[in-house]
Amino acid sequence: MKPKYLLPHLYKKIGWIITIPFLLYGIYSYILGDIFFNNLPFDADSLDSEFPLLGTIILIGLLAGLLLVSFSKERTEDEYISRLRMESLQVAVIVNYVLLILAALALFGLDFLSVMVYNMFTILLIFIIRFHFLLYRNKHNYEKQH
Amino acid sequence: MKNSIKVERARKNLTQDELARLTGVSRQTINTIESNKYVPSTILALKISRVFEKPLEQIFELEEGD
Repeated sequence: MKPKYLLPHLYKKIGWIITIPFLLYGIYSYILGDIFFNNLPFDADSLDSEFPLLGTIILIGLLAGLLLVSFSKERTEDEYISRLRMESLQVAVIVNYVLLILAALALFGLDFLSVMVYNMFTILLIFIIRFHFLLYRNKHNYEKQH
Repeated sequence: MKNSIKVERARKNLTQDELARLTGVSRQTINTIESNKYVPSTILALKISRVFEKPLEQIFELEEGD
């Protein structure tokens, strides 16, 4: 079974190199001064002022990095790894939307909008965390037996 | 589904690592199949049976509830 829609393993490293600085900067600017939030391309205030260059760069950089990490092959991408990948993706989609439903019930207005900002990244983030946890557990179980 | 990969490996004197290399998967995958945590695809099952030079049914067996 040849895995479809996956990049070579090398791209995973590139993905991490892109993701980490963008993620740190995204968090930093979100906490301090809200630059990230105010600069997002859909923000109503910046639509009629100027093009939100910084926000756009962070958004695209972060999404590109997370996509590369998520959809590059593992060193040995066999059918079992593919199954772990599919399961993790399923978990990520379910968890993401359950959280969104809870947020919709608990928050409204700008608070909800700020949850939507996180929500752009959470599917991929949850997927990456879940998938790597399963890979780690799988390897750990194997090494414990040998 | 039950399988007798462990027994067949012992008979052929192969480690999990060697069987993994012969069938083109990782050691962990062979390990999860042996411990009945994962059911291999038909392709992988056929490759395993080719390594052991035995028909599929002698290596893999349906269980009650399958």
